[in-house]
Parts: sequence; structure tokens; C-alpha cells
Amino acid sequence: VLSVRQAPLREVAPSDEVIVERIRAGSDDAFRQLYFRYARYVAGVVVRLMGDDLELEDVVQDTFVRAAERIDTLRSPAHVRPWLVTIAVRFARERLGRRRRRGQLRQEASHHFPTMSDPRDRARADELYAALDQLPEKYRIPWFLARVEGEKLEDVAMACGVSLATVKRRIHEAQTRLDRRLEVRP
Amino acid sequence: VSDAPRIVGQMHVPWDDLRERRVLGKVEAKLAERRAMRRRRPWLVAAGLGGGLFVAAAAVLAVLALRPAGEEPAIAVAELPVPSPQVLTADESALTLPDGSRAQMLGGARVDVAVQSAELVQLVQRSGVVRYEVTPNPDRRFVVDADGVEVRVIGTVFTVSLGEDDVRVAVERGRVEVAGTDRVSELGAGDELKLDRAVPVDEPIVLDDDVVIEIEPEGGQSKPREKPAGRAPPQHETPSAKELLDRADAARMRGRLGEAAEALSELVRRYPRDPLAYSSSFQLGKVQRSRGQHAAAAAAFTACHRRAPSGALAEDARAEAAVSWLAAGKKDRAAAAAQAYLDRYASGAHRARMQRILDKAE
Repeated sequence: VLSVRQAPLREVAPSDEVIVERIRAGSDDAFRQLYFRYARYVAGVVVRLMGDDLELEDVVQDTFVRAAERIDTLRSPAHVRPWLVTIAVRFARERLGRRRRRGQLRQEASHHFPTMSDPRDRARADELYAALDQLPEKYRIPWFLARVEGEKLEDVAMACGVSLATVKRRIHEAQTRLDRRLEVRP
Repeated sequence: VSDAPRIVGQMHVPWDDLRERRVLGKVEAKLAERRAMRRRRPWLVAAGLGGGLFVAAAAVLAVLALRPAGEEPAIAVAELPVPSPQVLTADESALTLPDGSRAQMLGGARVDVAVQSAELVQLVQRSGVVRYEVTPNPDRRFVVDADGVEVRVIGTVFTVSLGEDDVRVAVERGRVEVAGTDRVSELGAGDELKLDRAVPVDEPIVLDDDVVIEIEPEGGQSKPREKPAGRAPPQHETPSAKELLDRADAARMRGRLGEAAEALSELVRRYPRDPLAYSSSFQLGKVQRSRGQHAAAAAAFTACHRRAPSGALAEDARAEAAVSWLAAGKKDRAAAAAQAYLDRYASGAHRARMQRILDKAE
């Protein structure tokens, strides 16, 4: 008796480049694939950057609407993830700026602060965000993307729309100010 | 500061499947709206110019024209005739929305109003032939769902005929977008499109009309009861849909699932037309399942599916209803729901689970 064992078929996820090409060709399914691949990641960056989830859905929504409409301007489809982060950061920056102008940073939002697994870290996170709230967005965002999200400096520069040299200087300045503020605190 | 990445990395990201799908729904709605706006823009410019000329000509004529003798004709004002749930039948002949849009039922027709808000009107045509006259409104989407064929309206007059084997869409004026199971077509004035009905007429699983699920306090048991004759009006200030959702989210975060279920039930019951009610009914299903209230979970998922059979959560809702019916020991209903899922979503994400339910139910 001849028996043939067939290897199970495996579904290979398409690369970012393939998905972007399909979106450009008008595929709604490909856009959904991109969304389900990166929405959670974008949401994580946004919630950590803003320190709460008050406007999380709005920022993620705006990010993917903008991405769908500007996908043709993406020069390197392989860099779609940092590109999405760039868009999200811009929307988050706008909203942070708006909150700052209204004097709402953290004061009203503190009770919406996402939960931490360790309550001691909750206090330290509060302290960190209180210090971050004192920093202008131009320092806060590059520091956050580089030091917390671990993004490459080139991607941070792209997200912030400034040169590599400028972004390095701003991260350094942010670090200095944060060190000063957190050391001064009792 | 050096510890910041670790501390912030431990932050819980409040992002779950439901939230993900809810935002995707909003993204797709926004994109559709913007596409419609772009398509309409050249027409609007022409209409604006034409309108200007028309107004000028009318002003001249008004000065020159002689006023005819006799009484002026009365002006008829139509209002939304039925409270929720709005189910209109051919006997009632026409549904008129506050903005003047009309759905005229021509033969054996039945139309349900699934959603009616400032941003979206969604009608579900169950049967028959209906002629729609839709008042253009760029701030509101108008969608007709005819057995899975979605007709997205831009401001027009058209007829949808739901036959035994097919769905026909004929446009008299303006433009519509028709989305079938595998393609999207745009029709203009004079166009007619016929799409095969891939599945037999959908028979939704309906809970017994005389049974309602009462939510008991934390730790209590839900029991089916006879529907009361009437509900006493609440004595306290009525919370908004958003407040109820926030209350439910906060209760879920604290693990107080009974309170969460209560808030979600109230939201769905009190604000059936609010956009939040759709995802809340799905969330209610998940909460009830976590509490071990499987029949109530199935009811919530079924309600979610019936609310928008082509919505972002429809596929999941139908599948979760089948799972919950099985868990509740209702094998017949589980099998019916699983079969309905497989008929509608032959290559859906839950097909393996649904097949297992059918096997178990045999």
C-alpha cells in the first residue's frame, strides 16, 4: 500500500510591501490587513505618548484615514510601520498641544490613566508623566520615541519632521530637563 | 528616568478586539464619506452655478408673473411615524424620514430601520419591491441592505427588488454604489443591476418575544421572566449613552461584570438608535458569557447581528451567538446559527468552529 503524506499547507502572511501595493491598486481587504497588523501597535504608541486613552480612538482613526488617503506618497512601502507612527505622532502632538493650551494636561485626565501591573510603578509613572507634561512637545515626542519606544533615530527624525542632528539635540535637551525635574522632586 | 522604558512598557494598553473593530468601522465610514464628497464636488459646483441662475430667473419671473386666482395648495408635512423598533410593512405603504427621504413599498415589501442618526440612516429591506427617494445630505450616509447586497446612496431615486433568486437595483436619478459579496458597482440614472442571491432568505434567530432576560445584582442569577406590562419611569437623572458605556467600561476594569452587564443592557434598551448601541450589544454578549449567562450572551450577540447584518461586527456576532447557544444547551439554536453563519460566510474566519458546533449538535 502506497501512502503519501502531504505537508500541511501554511498560509504565508504577505509582506508590508505587498499589502501597500494592493492598497494602491484599490483593495479594501489589503487596507484592513494593514489596519489589523498595525492598529494595536499604533494604539500602544499613542497611549504611552499621551499618557491616557482619552483620545486614543480618535487618533488611531485619524491616523488610518490619513494613511489610506496618502498611501501613494509613501516612498518606501517597507517603512509603512514608522510611517504610520509618524502620522499618529503628528495627530497626538496636535491634541497634546490643544490640551496644553486649555491647561488640561494630566489634571483632568489622571483618573483615566491606564492600569499598571505594579502599583509602585503607577506612582513612578505618574511622576514621569507629570515631568513630561512640563516639556514642550518638540522635546517630549523625540525623547519618547527614542527612549521609550526604541525607534531608530532616523525614524524619530522623520516622525518629528526635523533633521537627524536636530532630533539628537532635542533628545539630549529633553533628557537634561527630565533629569533635573525628577531629581528636584522630593 | 533610566527606568522609564520599563515603567511605561508595563502600562496596560486599553485596546481589545472590539475597540479595534469599532475604530475600523469609523475609519471605513470616514473614507466612504470623503470619497462620496469628492465625487459630488464637481456636481455641486455645477449645481451651485445652475442654482444661482435659476434663482435669478425665478426672481424676474416672480415680478412679471400674474398671481392665479383661487386657494393656495396645502403644504403636507410628513413626520417619522413609528417609534423604535421600526418595522414597516407594505400595508403602511411608505416610510418618510424627517429630512424628506421616502421609502415607498410597492409589493409585499418589508423594511426595518436598523440605524437612524444624524450621520447614518441604515434600512434593511427584508422582502418585496421598494422605491427610495433620498434627499441629498453630505453629512449623513444612507444605506440600504437587501439580503447582503448593500446599496450606498448619494442622493437619488432608485428601486430595490428583492426577488426569489436575485436582488435588482434600478436607478432613476442620481447615483448609488452597490456592494455585493464580491464586487462594488456604481450605478447612474437609467442603470439597472441584477445580483444573484447567494443564500436563501436569512432567517434570524429570534428569541421568544415574551421572554426578557433580567439582570440580577452581582453574584445573582439571571432568570427568564414574563415581560412586564410596563416599566416604571426612572426616578433619577437619565444617564447618556456615553455615560452608560463609561460606567460599563469602569465596571469591567474592576471585574464587576454584573454592573457592566446592567449598564450595557440599559444603554442598548434606552438608546437603541445610538451608534454606541451596536458595539455595546456585542460587548454585552461578551460580558454575559464571562458571567456564565450563556443564553443572555446568545441573545445579545443575536441582537447585535440583527441590528446591522452587514456591519463590522456581524460575522463575529453570528458566530458568537452560535457558540453561546451551544454553551446554554440549546443545540437546535446553536446548529441553526452555525448553519446560518456557514451559509453567509463560507470562507469566514470562524468556519471551523461553526462546523464543530454542527457536528456536536447532531
